[in-house]
Amino acid sequence: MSKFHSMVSRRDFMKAVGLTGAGLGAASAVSPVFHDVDEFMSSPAAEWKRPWYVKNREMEDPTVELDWSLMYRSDGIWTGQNNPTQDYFLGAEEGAKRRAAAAAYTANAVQKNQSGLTLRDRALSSGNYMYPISFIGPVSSTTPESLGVPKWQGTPEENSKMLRAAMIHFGAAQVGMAEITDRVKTKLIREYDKDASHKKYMFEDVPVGYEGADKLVFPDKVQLYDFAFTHPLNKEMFRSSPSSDLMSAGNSMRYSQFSIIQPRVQTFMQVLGYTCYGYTRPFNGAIPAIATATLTGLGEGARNNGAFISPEFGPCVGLFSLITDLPLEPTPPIDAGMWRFCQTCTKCADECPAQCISKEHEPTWDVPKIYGKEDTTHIPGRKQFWTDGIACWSYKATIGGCGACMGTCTFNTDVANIHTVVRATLSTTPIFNSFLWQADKFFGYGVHEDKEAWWDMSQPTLGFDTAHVTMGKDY
Amino acid sequence: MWLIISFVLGALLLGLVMWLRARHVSLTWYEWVLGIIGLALLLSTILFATDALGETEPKAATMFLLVLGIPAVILLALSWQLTVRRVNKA
Repeated sequence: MSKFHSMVSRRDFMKAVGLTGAGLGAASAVSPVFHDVDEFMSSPAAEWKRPWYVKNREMEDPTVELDWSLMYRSDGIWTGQNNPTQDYFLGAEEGAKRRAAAAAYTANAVQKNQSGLTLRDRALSSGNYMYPISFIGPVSSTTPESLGVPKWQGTPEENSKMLRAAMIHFGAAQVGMAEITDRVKTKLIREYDKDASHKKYMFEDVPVGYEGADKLVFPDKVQLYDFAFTHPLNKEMFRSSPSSDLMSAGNSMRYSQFSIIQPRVQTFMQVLGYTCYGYTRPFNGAIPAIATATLTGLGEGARNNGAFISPEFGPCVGLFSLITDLPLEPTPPIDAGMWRFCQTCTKCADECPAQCISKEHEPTWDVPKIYGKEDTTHIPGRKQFWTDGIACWSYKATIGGCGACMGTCTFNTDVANIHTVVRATLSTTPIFNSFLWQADKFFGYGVHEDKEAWWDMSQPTLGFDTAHVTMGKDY
Repeated sequence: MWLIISFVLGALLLGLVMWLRARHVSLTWYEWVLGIIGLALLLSTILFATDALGETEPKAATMFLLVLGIPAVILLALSWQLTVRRVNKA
């Protein structure tokens, strides 16, 4: 057989061609085929990438156990950060005393040029609160009618893909979706708004919701959906906790950004022919954001039940949850082993200067009393650990602010490869949870003493790595 | 950095194999195992310690040197000494 210049015989070559063809045929048979962009958008395989160890769970079944029969609609004013609520538990005199101590502490700290609360730290933290936003949002003059076209019509899968792309463009990092079911209406949508005007959330037989003098109205007969999204926060700033305006600046950036993001998505929806029901202020959503973020799979519950952990970004994430009549495809809760890990690790509780986070290792359905009263700041029906929100919010102000629980969290890590190894290990092999918790402390991760070092660090825009998670990585 | 490490590592391994052949020395299976584990630990030490320094965690970097670096050096030294002593004895 003549081989000429080739080392491959004709027979071998044809065999290779045949094998390659068979391989390509098999690959094309099992791979999805897309004929156009619309078809690609509707493909469930085109969801956002996540680390391999994040597992989807059944709908409405997050890793923190729920008992929906115990839940009821919350009143937004019952939170630890609300002064009248603090006065209810502490007494008006003690509440006023703590607030006076808070103001005195901060004023004194700035005058003393205290690390973490210097004039430049205060200036950085003060610039973040701007919120010209509203429930209905700006009224766009551009609508499908004005453009002479029918309103946008897409499948829920197409709409979800489109909304996720738009939200990431507007400033969100990740987006999860859910249907507003009767259960959500009767258990999760707040009864009253958190704002001082204390408007009532109501459902009426109207085609489009509206904001009244004393109420915030959703259409009762229109199928609604909610979408939760993350706005990651600067991990390093949280490590300057406690007593740090740098932490406050890192934390409040989400509200400043949200005040821009919400009008953008509300206008986007109006131009498509739909409505997006927003927050009345950047802190005041119709649904507690941790609830929807957990139920739509953005992350899991944490030991501090006022916090939340994303597998990709850790605990330093801002969460928001908006409601729309654009049909969306629900996303399920996830299990990345983080809630299970929190049941072993007590790093946040150990670091908490107010000692308001439970150090128990067995979560409970029972909400403990605080200051001898029923804890009305929490809605029952979740099997978890119960943080004393009054102690947290009333104490942290007296030391110049605090986010130590999130700053020191074992999941508040940067881009080093070891952290991905640790997360993947604890997700799949919980027997190492105790060892990994101790190792985190042993290796010195957590809050930093040198608060002012942040000013000399090279940090990404907005303080978080936007590109990392688009590749399905965590950090 | 990893490109340079790869070149250095490749050159060192090539040198080792050539030196072993020139001296007509063959390593036992456990000398290979100890050496490979030691090398893997050494590379992990470099990776994790430089990563930790990159994210301004100097204590973590030091701990990686301690926890991974020292066993790496011990295993590599053990593999080397076992070989040298065995060859000298023969």
